[in-house]
Amino acid sequence: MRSMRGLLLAIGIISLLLWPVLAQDKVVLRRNLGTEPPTADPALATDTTSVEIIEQMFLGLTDLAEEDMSPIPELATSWEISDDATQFTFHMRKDVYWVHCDPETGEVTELDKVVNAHDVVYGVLRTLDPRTASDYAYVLYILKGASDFNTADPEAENFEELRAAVGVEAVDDFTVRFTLRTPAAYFLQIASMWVARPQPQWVIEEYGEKWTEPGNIVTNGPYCMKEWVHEDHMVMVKNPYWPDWDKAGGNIDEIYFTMVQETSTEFAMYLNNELDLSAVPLPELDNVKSDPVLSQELTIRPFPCTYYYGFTTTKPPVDDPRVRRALSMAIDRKTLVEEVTKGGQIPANTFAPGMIFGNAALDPDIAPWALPEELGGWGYERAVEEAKRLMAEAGYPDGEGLEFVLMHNVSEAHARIAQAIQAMWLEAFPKANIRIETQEWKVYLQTIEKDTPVENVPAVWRLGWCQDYPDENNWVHEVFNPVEGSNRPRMSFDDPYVGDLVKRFSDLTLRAQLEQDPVIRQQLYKEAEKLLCDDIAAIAPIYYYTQVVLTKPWLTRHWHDTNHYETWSIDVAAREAAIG
Amino acid sequence: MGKYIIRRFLWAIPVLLAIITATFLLAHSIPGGPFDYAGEKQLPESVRQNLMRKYRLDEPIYVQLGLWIWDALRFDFGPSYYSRGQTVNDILRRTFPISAQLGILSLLLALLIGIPAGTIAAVKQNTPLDYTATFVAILGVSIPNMVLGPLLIWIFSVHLGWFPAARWGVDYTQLYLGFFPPLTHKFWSHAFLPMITLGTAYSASIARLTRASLLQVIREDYMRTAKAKGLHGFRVIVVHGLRNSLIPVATVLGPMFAGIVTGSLIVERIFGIPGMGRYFVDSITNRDYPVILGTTLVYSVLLVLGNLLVDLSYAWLDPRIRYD
Repeated sequence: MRSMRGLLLAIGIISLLLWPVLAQDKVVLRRNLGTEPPTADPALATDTTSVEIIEQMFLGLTDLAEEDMSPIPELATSWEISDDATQFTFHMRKDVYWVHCDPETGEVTELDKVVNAHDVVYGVLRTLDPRTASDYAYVLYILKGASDFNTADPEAENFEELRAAVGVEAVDDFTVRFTLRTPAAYFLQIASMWVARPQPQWVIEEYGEKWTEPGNIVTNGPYCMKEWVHEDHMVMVKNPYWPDWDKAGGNIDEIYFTMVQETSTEFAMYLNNELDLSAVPLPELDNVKSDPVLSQELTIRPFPCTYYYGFTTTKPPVDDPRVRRALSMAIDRKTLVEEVTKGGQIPANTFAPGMIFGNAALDPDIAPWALPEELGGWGYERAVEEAKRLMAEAGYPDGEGLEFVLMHNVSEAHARIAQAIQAMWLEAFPKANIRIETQEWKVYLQTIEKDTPVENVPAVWRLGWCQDYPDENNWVHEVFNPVEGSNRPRMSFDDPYVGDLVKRFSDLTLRAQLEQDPVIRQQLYKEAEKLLCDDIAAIAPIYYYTQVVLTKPWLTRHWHDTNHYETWSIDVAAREAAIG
Repeated sequence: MGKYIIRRFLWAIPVLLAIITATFLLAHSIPGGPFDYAGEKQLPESVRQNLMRKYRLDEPIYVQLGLWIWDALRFDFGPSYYSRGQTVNDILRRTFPISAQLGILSLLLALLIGIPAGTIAAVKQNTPLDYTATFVAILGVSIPNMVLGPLLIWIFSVHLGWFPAARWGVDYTQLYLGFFPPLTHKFWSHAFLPMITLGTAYSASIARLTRASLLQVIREDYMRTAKAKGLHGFRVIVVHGLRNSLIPVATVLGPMFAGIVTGSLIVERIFGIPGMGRYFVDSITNRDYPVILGTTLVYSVLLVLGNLLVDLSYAWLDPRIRYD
């Protein structure tokens, strides 16, 4: 009896000691990244996973608004643009400090260093330094002298001069000025990108490439890194010194990122309440939609990427624009997204999707045959009639004599789409001979390069494009401009059919780059899109991507282009009630 | 015996060198390099040059091979091109122990199920017991991991809630001596499903092999002699029969060991286990040459080691076999 009482007393004391700990249970968000982020270094990131974790830890001068991805203040509170749009001066806030997170305890300490203009200058120059070997350094080539510095030999005598000549300077401790090589209305979007963010010089110099490991890393965003057990998980904890918590409104104290690659496993973990949100594996989508509970948790939203087929415009039979247009017309995009891809994708008639500045997506002035009737387009029946007429006019009645290769990189999803489109084409042009070929990704990318001998290039190939920054310049210009862009379709001013249209297209995207009036830019891009997808028909846009996400009912989230967890919140009581 | 082992080790050196050279040349001859593209975007030539210089890819190919071997002799396998800031040593150090844990457990499970099942099937040949064992074995061989894994997750995690759906119970920072996991409840609850998934496929082939080989041995004269001496049936089978019939089983175990211990791409992927299986494939898709070489080297060393162990086990299984 005595010992019993002693035991009870001990339990009482222990639980009293533990009480504060138990009472302040942290709100933990559990999210699967789907893969190990290749890097957490803002200078080196190229992929969306790395960008997602960098976004939590490092602030940019500007940020992109949730609704329309327009640039809004982040580290910079205001900015001035010179009249010729070649000088951008940003005024920075003075209340954001660098912080360090203890990997053992998770305790965040505020360092005695304010994030300032010199950190931005250092970050930009480090990204551009050829010794950093950043893949995305070229995004900053818009800065004066940037390309010269990035391509310089580090051993060269004038290396330091080249470094000093780059168009970025700290006017004072909290004012940073960028000088551009040419006017660029879209520079505010570039200023939001990870390659232009402040970086902690003293930490990078101390730890070298290992500076992004927990314990070493110093950050300034709403979350900081406590643990990174590579390929297994990463833990981020709230940075209480980040000044905007009240504005952000979220309540997540800690984010536990897992790195499970297989979507069906991620989905099982979600069902098992091990995750608060999840992607949906394609084969499960029909089940999810018909499930009374899961369908309530499902969200399908547009995502700024486009899936398209490109034509090699120098290779017969698709050197004839009528053939290209006929093929593009004969793709039943509505059926494709409803029956094959099934993720709520949107039939595409232009290259850039909605949300991108300057886009003309779903505008029935452009390639109306690609759009279903309810979106103001022709609908497939009318489109396919016109396609047959055009194909006959081009000398291939019913596809007689039409022979070409459609190529895609090895992937089950691409194969399903290619087979569906091949079937649509054969339905429209029954006598055609269309072969599907596949190649491994990197080999494929080389095959469809514009300097591959034309006999080795397929006539039709598939690709997708996702934004680096939300402006048409990143789309029609960088991808297709015949002079400055990648131009995989090999559009040429000497094209016997559409040479003058190609010239016009090229001039348009160059002019739009320099133009500052947003209304005029919009018009220029609309015309460029019409040339690209309709008149020249160098590509057949197929669909705009969507993201298909399941969210547990206790999680309230936002939809920034990259997740902003500081705005998310979890109803802990609801979660506990549900999980038990 | 000692001499034999030393000779085998010395022979391993040219074998490994040949494997490395061949792998190196093959890897570099695949079209496309590690730094041609970021996603679907082609990198400008200038950016590519910086990357090539940083990773010494601008040197002639024989110099690169020489540099790699020189570094490898000092156990430095170079940086990963894809996971920036990570070295191949980092990757191997954290992924190999996890793969090996799963592999060894699965292999033990496979032996534990496979050998008794095969033995029973052979002894009770052409009885319902044999048919059942054979049927289960064929089922085990023919259900691929990529079906069994999700099925087990579906039944035992999502519906019954007995096990977590995925991931490994420990991470590399919690291992003793960098290899041995703490055998906690959490460890076993995570290990169970993947262990079953990986183990059953192997146990099935071990069972079939044991059965076939034991059936041959059972008809040998010495078996009849042993029985005639009046030995107990069980003893005859286990001591005289099984031991002799295990030689073919041991032969397949060598390469099986190397394969299973370096990780199964599929099982690790399905269960989200941070092992090295995926690196065999991902390193090639990413053209991450140092990782290709590192993983191949680990695999080759284990293969050489596994085969040596097999050869040594012959002498134990059959005393007539000698190595001089």
